Amino acid sequence: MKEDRGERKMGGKIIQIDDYRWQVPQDYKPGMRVPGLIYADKKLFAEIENDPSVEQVANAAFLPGIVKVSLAMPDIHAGYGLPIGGVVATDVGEGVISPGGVGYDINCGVRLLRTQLHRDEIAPKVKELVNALFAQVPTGVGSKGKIRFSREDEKGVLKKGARWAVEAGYGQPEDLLHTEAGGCLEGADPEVISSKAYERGRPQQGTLGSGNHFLEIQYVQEIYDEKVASAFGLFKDQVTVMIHSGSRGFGHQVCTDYLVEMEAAVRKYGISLPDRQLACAPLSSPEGRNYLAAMKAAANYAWANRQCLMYWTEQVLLDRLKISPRALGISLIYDVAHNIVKIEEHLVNGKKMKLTVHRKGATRAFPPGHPEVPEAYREVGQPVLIPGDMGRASFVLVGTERAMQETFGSTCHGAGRVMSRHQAIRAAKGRAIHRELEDKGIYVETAGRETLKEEMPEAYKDVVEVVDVVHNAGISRRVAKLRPMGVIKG
Amino acid sequence: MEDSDPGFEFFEMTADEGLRAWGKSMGEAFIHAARGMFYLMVDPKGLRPQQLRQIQVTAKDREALLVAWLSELLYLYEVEDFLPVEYSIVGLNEQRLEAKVRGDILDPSRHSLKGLVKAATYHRLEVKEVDGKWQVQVVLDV
Repeated sequence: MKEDRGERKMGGKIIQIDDYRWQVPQDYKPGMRVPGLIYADKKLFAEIENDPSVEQVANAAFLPGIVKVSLAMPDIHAGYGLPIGGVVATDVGEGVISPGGVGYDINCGVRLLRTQLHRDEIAPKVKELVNALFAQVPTGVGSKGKIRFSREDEKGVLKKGARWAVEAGYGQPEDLLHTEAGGCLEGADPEVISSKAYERGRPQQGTLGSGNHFLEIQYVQEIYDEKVASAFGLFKDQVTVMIHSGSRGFGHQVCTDYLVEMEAAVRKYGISLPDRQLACAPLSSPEGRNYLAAMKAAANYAWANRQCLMYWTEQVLLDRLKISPRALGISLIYDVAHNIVKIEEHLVNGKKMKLTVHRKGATRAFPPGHPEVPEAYREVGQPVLIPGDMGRASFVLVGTERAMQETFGSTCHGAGRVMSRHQAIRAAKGRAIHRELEDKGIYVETAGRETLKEEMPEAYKDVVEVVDVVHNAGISRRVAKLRPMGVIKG
Repeated sequence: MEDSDPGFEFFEMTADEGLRAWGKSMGEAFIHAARGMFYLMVDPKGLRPQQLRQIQVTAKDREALLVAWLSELLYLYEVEDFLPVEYSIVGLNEQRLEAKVRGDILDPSRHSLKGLVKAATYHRLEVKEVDGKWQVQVVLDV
């Protein structure tokens, strides 16, 4: 295994603005249209200072029509095109839309379910529940879904997202109120999707996926903000379930297909880019509009998926615990996307602008009062769900006005990787990660042979640090800390 | 090809997999890249060349052709459970590749699955000839 030194620090100085903000000045790299801004503390910044992430923040600033700033959240790590943790907004009129600004796993996201149960009621049964979930929820590489689809169903899923799933009997209408975008982006077009994407997506509908995707039984370890926690329906020692999953092979194929389209578009529209993976087209062009419509379809696919996964989770819990739905009291707190592009209105220098906001490994974090925040939470702000890694913590945060002002209403999405998969496997050699986690009271079932090693806690930044940065920077606020009890992974 | 030279190697990237492959011709380098990619997904032992697939891809330049080639193989794996074993390039220029690939159909009782490659990206993509030897580089989303 060779360590690659092909992408080191470019010339130019990063300016530290305050304890949590680092500016990449516009002259850092010729061609930048706006400066870059990285949210990090000293330690996190030192970790990325010499890797390609910083240059990727600078490269994103080349995108035509980019507004104000090229952003990166503290879970920043090197991706391709935008860094992971990147947020860029372009003007809808003149600016571009870029598949690389979303990523391959369109609408990879998280949902959090609450229950009425106390952790003590669940603790003795965790192993049994995890095994039952593992048996019922299709998980891992090559897993095939349980749902039988007609061609009509397929188009329904892509056009209606989670709404399709609810109409088909997977869950309740109220669930849609507590899903970002109501679990459906209007304007998805099944006709601009390739047959390859359909072929990949068909057998994978309702599957959890692999890698860092998971379904986790948790408990609320700590409440930081009583008022907001209460509005979200959270209490200490409550049992919760978190589902982290995306659009599977369907989204990947959509991204792959449109990167090819955009490669041609870049030449056609005379766009000059430092990284091919930033390939884009004006939103107003046919290529741009088609990608947006295809991306929406993939996003809807993922929302339908998470809705189904939630339904099966509830069925397994009811079956195993032998309690009534009322006693279980399971309901959806919220569902967020963290790889997505949305058309949103934001104030930029006092002016209302309609923007194409790309979040690649970043979460929307809208403030109190925003019309898109569900009525039940409007007084306190939008729930932000931050999955950590196995063995450590996940967090619930809430959106803030400061995020609206500084980051187009965005915050981090989780704990970025610090070790490559190979490094993690090497570091885990000889260790029984399964056992280490069990010693901590966490029971894990995985489908992949190397998954546990690749995904071991030390392979990730400490999510606590990442959350500290966004909290202290004021772009979202800590509400609760969740600890894993049992996990299923691909 | 010498037994000791697999024709490919990996380089470290934080969240993805960097792959370099080489060969005496562009086609051979492309074949080694495919072998490298599948090496990440399944143990080559136990794979039998039982089925034939004819592959045809086109692209605007040779770098994009490499991505198109790998993407097509990924698609065949995901949708048909097809695992390539032997490759034979029928036609190749900078914008078009035609190949006959013999491979196996995924059978969990015979095959040892590793991870999953989700896509071949355009990031740091290279296809070049250096001193008569061909070298390619591609970053795989895993």
